[in-house]
Amino acid sequence: MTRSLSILIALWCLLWLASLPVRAADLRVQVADPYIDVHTGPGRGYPVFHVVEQGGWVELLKRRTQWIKVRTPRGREGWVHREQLARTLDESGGYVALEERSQSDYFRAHGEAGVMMGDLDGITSLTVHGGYAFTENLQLDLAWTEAAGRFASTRLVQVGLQHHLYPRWRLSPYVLMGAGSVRVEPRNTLVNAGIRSERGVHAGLGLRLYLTREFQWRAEYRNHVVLTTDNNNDEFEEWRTGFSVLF
Amino acid sequence: MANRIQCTVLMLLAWLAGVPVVAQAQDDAALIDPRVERRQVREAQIDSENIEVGLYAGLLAVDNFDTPAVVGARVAWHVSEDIFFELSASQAEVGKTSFEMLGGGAILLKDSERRYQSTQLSVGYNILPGEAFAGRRRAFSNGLYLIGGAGNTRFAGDDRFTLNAGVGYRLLLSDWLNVRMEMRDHIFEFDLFGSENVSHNLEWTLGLGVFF
Repeated sequence: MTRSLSILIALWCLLWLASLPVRAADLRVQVADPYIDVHTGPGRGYPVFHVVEQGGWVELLKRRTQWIKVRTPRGREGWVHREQLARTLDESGGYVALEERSQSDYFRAHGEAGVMMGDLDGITSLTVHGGYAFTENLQLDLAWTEAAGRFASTRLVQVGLQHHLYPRWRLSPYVLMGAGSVRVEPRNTLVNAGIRSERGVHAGLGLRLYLTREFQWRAEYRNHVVLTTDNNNDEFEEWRTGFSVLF
Repeated sequence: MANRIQCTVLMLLAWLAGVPVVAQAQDDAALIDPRVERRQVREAQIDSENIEVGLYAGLLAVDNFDTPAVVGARVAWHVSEDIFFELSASQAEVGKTSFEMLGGGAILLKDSERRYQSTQLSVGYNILPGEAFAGRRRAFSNGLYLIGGAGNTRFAGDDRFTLNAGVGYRLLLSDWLNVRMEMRDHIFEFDLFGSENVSHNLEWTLGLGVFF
């Protein structure tokens, strides 16, 4: 316990050190609207405490979600919404380019990470997955699934390949197949049976819906075959759905 | 002859005088170099800080057991000003049930089974953002959030599918540092005492968070 705690603290300190500001060259923009509102915090609920008039130069410091921290000509620091940034000019006299992601940004190679919830042979399952799409059609995926049931808890760790049939559609179907390990641990309170660890293969179908910005929704059906050492292979089904982030 | 000397002297003078003139002309050229760097600003150049990493500690009231100290770590990703996703892991060493205390040496769990380990994936929703005032001159941003999700709890030797729900208060000490107080219920089905019943485990924690 103390060891894991000290590891956590060390990790946290490291991350904190990594976050110490590396000062980038100042980015300055000129207000083109009659004025812009400066809020005390990065949210619409935080009060407006200052305004910068047309022609005033503001310095852009950092961004959190849809809000940008600025330093005003009078040296005050506050937050403006990114939509107001779209109506400011940079030193070249052009409007500041806002980069709203769209689906076409993900037609090239990209990564994905997400979580899913589902039903694994009658047990609620949770999945964390990450993938890399190296072409429009093909994606390599790594998934970790845990399902704690009444009689046993199951863990699946799987590597798979997905093939997207119509990758440019907003709602896009795909087929998938892969292999991995299946670990079944019987409940302690029932029997003192041993942990079973086997290899498994799976195949399935899925649907992916591009939502907005970098988000998408997925739903999948998978058929698993556990390659046991007995004469018969075990077979079970899994349904899952969840959200993922593209980057 | 005198003319020639005059001419040479004048040329020399002109040459001597000419050097700085030319040099000055070069300096001027440097001053009005048209290649002034005009920076274009794109949104992607702004340093974004949407990831929050934190540590927390507190108390966990384990249903039917005692209330041990709990420690944990969390990583949150703020998607918008309203919504964030959080992955958290926590651990506690649970003591004895009242049955074990009174039952004269009856032991239900091995020591290794008394370790309570929980991993949760949750979604948070920020409500009631605003400012808190400390005296006349200081104001801090703060707000409440609702949080809920699902995950796994390993306790009494088994994995248990767990739902969590709670509410928290976050006070931003600076842009990158915040403190939080949170109350969360961890709910799972527990069958150690024979029948399957729903176990509610209330967790009260204080934490520190850093934005990246």
